Amino acid sequence: MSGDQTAGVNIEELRALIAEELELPVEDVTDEANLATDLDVDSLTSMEIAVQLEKKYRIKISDEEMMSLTSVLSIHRIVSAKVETA
Amino acid sequence: MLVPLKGAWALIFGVSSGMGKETARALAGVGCNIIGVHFDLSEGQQQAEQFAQELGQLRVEAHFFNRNIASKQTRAELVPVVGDLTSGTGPRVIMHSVAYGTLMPLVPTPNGEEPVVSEKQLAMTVDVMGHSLVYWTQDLLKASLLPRGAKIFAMTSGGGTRVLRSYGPVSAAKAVLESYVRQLAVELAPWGVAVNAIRAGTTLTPALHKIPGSERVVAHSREINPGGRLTRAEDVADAIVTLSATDSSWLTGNVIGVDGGEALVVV
Repeated sequence: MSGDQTAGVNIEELRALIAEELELPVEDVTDEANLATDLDVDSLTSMEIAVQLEKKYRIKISDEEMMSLTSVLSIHRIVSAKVETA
Repeated sequence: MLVPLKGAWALIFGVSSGMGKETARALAGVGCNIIGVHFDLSEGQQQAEQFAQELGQLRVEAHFFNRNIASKQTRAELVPVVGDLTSGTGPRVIMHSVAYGTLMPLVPTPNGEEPVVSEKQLAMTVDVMGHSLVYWTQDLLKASLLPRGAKIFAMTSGGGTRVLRSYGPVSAAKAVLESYVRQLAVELAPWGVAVNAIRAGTTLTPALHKIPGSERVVAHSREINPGGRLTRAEDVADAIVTLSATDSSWLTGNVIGVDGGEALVVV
């Protein structure tokens, strides 16, 4: 697992947040695992993740951006970009 | 006997838009305090907060919570809050107006190109839009927060007994919901609590716009509705306010059409 930290968004903290929402071990939530097809995440759980991301990182996520929250890596990119511009 | 709603409490699931929102507004307009639950991203949360403040200007209390109503943790957190806000009495009106589910076909077409609903998506849809009514009812009753004379309204649709492509998971949820309304009506009768489903006509809500093919449904409904217009969320709100203004639990176990007669017309 990467110890990447970009613009204050620690990917391991992000992974832990996602794993907690999915009720999965952190090691199952790999960087590129697709939330829907690999981890069987439904839209309600995706919404839970998005709401928690907004709260933790004090960002706003649009309905359209929800569609791009597909993996830990893609979520990290999106959240990092928003935190940088905040 | 008719009993004013002034000073009573309503618990509304789905308060931030559509029928939940207009029903909150109508109930607040007659002096009913509102506990609202919704599940929105931050932009929707801000709009919901503004709406709560608008209701406050009608001289009622309005407390909104941005939570997933299908979550056990949400019930564990909010049921005591409902108890505190209502001083242990519980709400007089409970409205289940939840639109969160998957809109996908059950099986592919012969060319097999479009995705179909997964087991998890189907289970989630029926859980949020169907089973959650039972879980909340159980928890409120257990906490002695379903007073005699309380009214539970669950929002169903014509799609519960008709077919629209991609609406299958939600249609199943509505069928489940209507069955629970009948069952709960009988089981809550000794408690003096009435349970009814409201089947609105085609109504322009954010939820409707998400349904594939809804524009054709809208066009057809506009053409056939005997009242010469589509149903409005305010029509549903009026019905709920009217039906709630009594302590009688004798009107129970029904699917009540609030549609201007639309469902009666074929062409």
